[in-house]
Amino acid sequence: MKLVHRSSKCLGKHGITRIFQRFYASQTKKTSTDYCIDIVRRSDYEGFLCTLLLPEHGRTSAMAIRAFNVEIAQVQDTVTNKQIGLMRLQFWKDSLDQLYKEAAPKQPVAMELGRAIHSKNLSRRWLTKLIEARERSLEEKAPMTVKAVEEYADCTSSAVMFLVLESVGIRDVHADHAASHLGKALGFTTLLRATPYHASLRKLNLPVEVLAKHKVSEEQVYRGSQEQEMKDAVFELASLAHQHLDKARSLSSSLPRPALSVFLPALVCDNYLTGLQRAHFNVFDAKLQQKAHLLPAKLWWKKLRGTY
Amino acid sequence: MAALWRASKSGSSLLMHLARPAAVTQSRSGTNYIQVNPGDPSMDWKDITDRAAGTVFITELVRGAGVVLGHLFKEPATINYPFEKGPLSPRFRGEHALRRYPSGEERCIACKLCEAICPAQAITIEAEPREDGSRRTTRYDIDMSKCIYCGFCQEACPVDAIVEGPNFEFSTETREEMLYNKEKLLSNGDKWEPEIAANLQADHLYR
Repeated sequence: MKLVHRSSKCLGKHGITRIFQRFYASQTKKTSTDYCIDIVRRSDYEGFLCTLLLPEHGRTSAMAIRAFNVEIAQVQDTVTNKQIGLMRLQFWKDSLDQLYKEAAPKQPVAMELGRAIHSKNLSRRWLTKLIEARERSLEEKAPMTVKAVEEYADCTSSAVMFLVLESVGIRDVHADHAASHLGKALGFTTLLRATPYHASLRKLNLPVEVLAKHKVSEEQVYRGSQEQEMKDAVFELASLAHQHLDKARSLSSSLPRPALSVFLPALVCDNYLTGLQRAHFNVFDAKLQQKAHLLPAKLWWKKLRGTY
Repeated sequence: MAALWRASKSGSSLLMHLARPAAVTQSRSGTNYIQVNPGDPSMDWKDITDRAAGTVFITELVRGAGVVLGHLFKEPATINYPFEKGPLSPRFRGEHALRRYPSGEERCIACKLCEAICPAQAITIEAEPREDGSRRTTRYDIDMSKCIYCGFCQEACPVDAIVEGPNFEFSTETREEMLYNKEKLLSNGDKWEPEIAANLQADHLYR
């Protein structure tokens, strides 16, 4: 009884149940909010779980931001031609211009984003950076250096973190500092996690610098090599992710209390890195591609304890 | 001089006379002829009796019937086409369709990116703002006889409105029927939405 009481207090008055009801009960009448929830749940499940645990007032805006991120991140995977990808991203740039002038195109994600921009006063810089980073990654092949990966992560996952912080109403230097480190950790994690997918398409996504240092050839990555040198390269990238994660966690004491739930994606990152360690840094291990069933419970526990 | 020339000529002809028979004998001895036809049937009394018994007891017919019986119980190698269809890739590019949002509102916002990217220039769009301020198409035509099914329109669409669905049975009897308008495309979308949505799914964010 005590636990139930505590949890309901923690999750807000209307809480998760209302969001769940929305897309399980009313399949017929769907609003643009439901549409955003639907894409995030389908394409960024962990982001969806973390967003559910945000404070009530920032949840819809955060969901809009994540849906926007999903929309522009998937452009690269749907196009076969660079020019077409650039056209799609240009559409989103134009939409963003229009959103700040209050004449959004009638597209659910754009409408939700517009609502979030006006109610939470989201800074345009991060939204633009998000699109520009995708544009750049559309043009270039594999990242050359670790620094390039960090910059990309700064413009993508960190940018999402900053925007979510803004949507919860936190503008704090320490929070931004921690978010920047967590974003980089998430960037490296996504990189490692996506390696089997990219390898199956014969695309290289790991930084060339690290591969060259450990004498791993491109072909080895494509063939899902389990040799020691490949594991060494993965280990180096994973430890970079771990360093950023540790740094972000060490800053938790200086953060304002409501900001803590924004940093729950740290657990997602931690979960993957622990799994990778258990698989002896074999990034192609099939177990790493499975859904973590305990993740929702773990995230909820972290939220209850006020840590990340 | 002339003697030298004659000598060389006779020498070479002598060589030729020597060389030719040697070559011919070599090719004859190096070739192996193989008997490929079955050869004459054996005329032993035992073999003649066996052949006669085979003819009398029609064993070939019985064996043939056995093969037929065996195939009756095997899975057929063909499919019953108009009622059954072969497997299709989720990336299959078939008949076009315009999709709607789950709310029923049409997705297309008349950005004209598909019209711009279409290499066959098969798409024609006219648009005007509606009363509620949203920009929508008043005309969306695809000339299916021009379309080369490259899938660029689907890739260029920022709102996933125009898609090439899994339908491949849309042959017509007249050319006019191949000029699709907006109503036809939207009704295609309504008809094929479950399949289209299933094909578009991506399960994880890899960027």
